[in-house]
Amino acid sequence: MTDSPAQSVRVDAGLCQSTGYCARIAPTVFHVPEGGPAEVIDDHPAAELADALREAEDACPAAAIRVTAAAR
Amino acid sequence: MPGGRDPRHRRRAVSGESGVSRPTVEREDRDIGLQAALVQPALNGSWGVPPSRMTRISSFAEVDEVFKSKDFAQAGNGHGDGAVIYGKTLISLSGDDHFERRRVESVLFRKESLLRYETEILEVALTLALDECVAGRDADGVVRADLVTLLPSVILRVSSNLVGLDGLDDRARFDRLRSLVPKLGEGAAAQYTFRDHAEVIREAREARDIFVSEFFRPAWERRAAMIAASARGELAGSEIPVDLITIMIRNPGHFTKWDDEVYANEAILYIVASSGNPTSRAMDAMANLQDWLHEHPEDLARVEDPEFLRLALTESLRLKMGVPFQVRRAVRDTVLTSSGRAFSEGDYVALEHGFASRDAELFGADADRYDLRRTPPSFGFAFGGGPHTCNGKGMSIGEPNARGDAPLGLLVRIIGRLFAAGLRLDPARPPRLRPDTIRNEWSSFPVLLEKL
Repeated sequence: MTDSPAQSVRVDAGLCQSTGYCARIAPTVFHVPEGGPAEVIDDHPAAELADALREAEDACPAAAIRVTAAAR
Repeated sequence: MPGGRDPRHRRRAVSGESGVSRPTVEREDRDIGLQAALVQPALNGSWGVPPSRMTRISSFAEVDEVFKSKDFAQAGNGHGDGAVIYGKTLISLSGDDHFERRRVESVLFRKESLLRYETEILEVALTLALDECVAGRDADGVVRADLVTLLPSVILRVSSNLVGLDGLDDRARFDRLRSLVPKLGEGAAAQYTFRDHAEVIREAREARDIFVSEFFRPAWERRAAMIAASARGELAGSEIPVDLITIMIRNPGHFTKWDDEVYANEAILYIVASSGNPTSRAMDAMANLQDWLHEHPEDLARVEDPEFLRLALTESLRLKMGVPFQVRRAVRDTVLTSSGRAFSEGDYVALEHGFASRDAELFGADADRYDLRRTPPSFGFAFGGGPHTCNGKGMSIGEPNARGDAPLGLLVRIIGRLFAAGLRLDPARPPRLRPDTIRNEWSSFPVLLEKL
């Protein structure tokens, strides 16, 4: 499990299917290395990214992303 | 079939040496090995791919890698004979098209939506269904039900809401819709049927025509009118339901890339995919859990705990897939990192995910055993993998619920309600598998509800 320090975005590495969908929606927050799993690369996502983070959470095929209320 | 009983079915293994306990009610089983023997004829017949271009793989590592790889495209669901119903749908797409479809539909699967399906629709539908069971109590005072009838009807209440079909409080209209689902499902899975494929496809087309004219088109026209009224300022946006049909109307930039068949097919996808396989897997889970509790009475008190029910469901899902294989096609020359196996562009691969979910390399020598003490719990490839991980996964099994605000999962709730109703497999009428398809689906699953 990768946590940002603010605990606002999490990726469950055990669930991640390495689709890269999250990085396509929010490329400044997620990075998916070859073979995955996805990593959270922005420890402090800006408030204006809240909608994109929500969309990344919703669109993740593996339901591996959790965005806490603090980021919304 | 000569020689006695059809070898495609047999009683569940009860041998002590396999470590499998004797089931409380013996039930038909399509042993995974027997099911695998049926794979090649299906591959040859429905996909038209010569055996030299089709590789079967069954290790967890290889199946996992192919599911996730961008070097392989979907070539199973929505392809071959099943394209008649699932063609152009989310489940059939690959690459950018799949990403975009998933993205525009994702609001249907966010947590708030899942909680609404569970609490406002499923629980109500379950209560009504169980009330009907009580009303039909037999002369001996026992409440009996067949879950093959009960569960798809309950789930259809949820899926029809997700899609956005109207007027289903009218029982006759709901029953009409319910009657179409098996034919639509047969068409969607025509690759797997033992019946004449052309006949299955013809029946599916007829059912599709009825679905479109009586259910889909009226719902579409009503929503299109609401959206137009909202654009004119005559209707508040909040009055427009959030469902699949409104999403499709509001995203022409995506959906008009396909012909008009895409709209109804996409709706049918959610109606069909939520019915046969998930409900049969819930029945498996209830049977396995009954057996487990018989052997482990110390766990009886845990059947009210959703986390325990999710565990019971998860382990059951790992052991029984709806179909014996998924198909992918290499879109470029590639070599699997996990095994060194090479594929040329255009090669097909059959992912035998049922075997992969019992891979002893990962799950140990007792991988075939239903074991609720297994750590870590795993549903294997029950929901596929990679981009095509079933988007009904969260809806079906929910998620750990430490804070108490997460979806429990439709199937978890169903199992909990039925065990609370005193579910027990009817010892006088063992469950029967469908004889007309490779798919693991029940044709009857009689139970007693002893606390009603």
